Amino acid sequence: MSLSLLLSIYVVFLLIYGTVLGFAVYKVFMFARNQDLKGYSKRMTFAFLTTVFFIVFITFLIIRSYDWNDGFSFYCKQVFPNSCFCEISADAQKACQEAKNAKALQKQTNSANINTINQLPKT
Amino acid sequence: MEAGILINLYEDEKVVLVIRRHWLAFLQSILITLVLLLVFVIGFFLLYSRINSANPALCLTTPLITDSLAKGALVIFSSIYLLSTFAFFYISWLDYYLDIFMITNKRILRIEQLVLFGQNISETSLQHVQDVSSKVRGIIYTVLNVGTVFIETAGERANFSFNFIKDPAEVAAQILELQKEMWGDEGFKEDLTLERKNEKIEKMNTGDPLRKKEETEKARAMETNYQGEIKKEPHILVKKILDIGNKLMKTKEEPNIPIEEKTEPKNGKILKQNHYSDGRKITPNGVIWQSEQEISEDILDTLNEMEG
Repeated sequence: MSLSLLLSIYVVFLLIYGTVLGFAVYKVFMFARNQDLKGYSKRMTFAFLTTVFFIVFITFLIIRSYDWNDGFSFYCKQVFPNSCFCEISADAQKACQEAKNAKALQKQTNSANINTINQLPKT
Repeated sequence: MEAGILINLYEDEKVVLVIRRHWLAFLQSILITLVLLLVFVIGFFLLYSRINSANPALCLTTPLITDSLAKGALVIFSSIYLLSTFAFFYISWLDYYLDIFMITNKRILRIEQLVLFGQNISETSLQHVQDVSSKVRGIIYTVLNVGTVFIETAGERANFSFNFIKDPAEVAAQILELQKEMWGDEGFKEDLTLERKNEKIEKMNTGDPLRKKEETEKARAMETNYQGEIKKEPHILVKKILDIGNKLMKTKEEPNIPIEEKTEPKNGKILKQNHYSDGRKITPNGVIWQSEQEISEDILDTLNEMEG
């Protein structure tokens, strides 16, 4: 199974999102350290973080049930159905090549058999 | 200043008032967030119905994009959209909440948050405040008593204005009251900016008490010179050049008048000699300067001694 493109995009988005918003949250907590400026900043930040974690959790819960056949090799095979370079791993490429060779050999054998049958005297 | 703490109060400084903008300033962001959420709800159901649509013209699935993949993609993009919407709301709130107008018994501070990666802190001491005024304009603002406070400061210092302030007239009155209290306090006469400069110099020169003292005195002298209270003595070279200039001016002003006129008989002829006030002597053979005259007299004396 190859890596899903959509899931990869989502993970990268979460990483960038976490970095930027993590900085914002840090800033608010540092700000709240000042006794004179204390307010509802911490409560607001907790509410925001809870919402974000809830959305991410629900998303992962839902997407588990789907088939993620949107990997690179899937789309590559759709475009080049007879080539083996769409396989990502070396083992899969080797297996693909062997299967391709076997198929070619089978085809050759089949055509030879047909020729032999054709050469037989008709009864 | 400790990490994260935005302001550094003086020893005898007390925070009198911390004002944040009224929630009306944040209303725009709330409305935008609500609109974005509404768009999300409508968009999600529209797209979901098209995935399961029986009508092939409307159906989003193709042999390449299966039903399962289309639903998964919808969930992922919905999640990204929702997270971005909440991030927008949170950053807008941060921008609103971290904008602070702080009044202490010595100064006025404005801490302005610039989105996420910027902050602008401006301050002025109460003694530089010249005028404080407030303005409330518009129906909603009048009903909620929300307006702007303007603070005019002396000289070239930037003026302050704080918008979306609750009870602006009350805030303006409070500032003026604080200023009045400050002027009434006899112990408070130092300029805060000068005080801060000295503090910085002292911090820089820790470890060398002599240097520290010198630097502090120098800074104070420079500050007072700048204010025009003490005038600096000119440099010694400048002084010399000025003296020379004065002398030249003097000599120009006084015309070279012949002070002595002599007629000396030489080889039966009468020769005229003029002596001037600058020491020149004009003879029929040419001009002889004072220095040359002195030298020639010395040479003559020496020659006379040798002959003798």
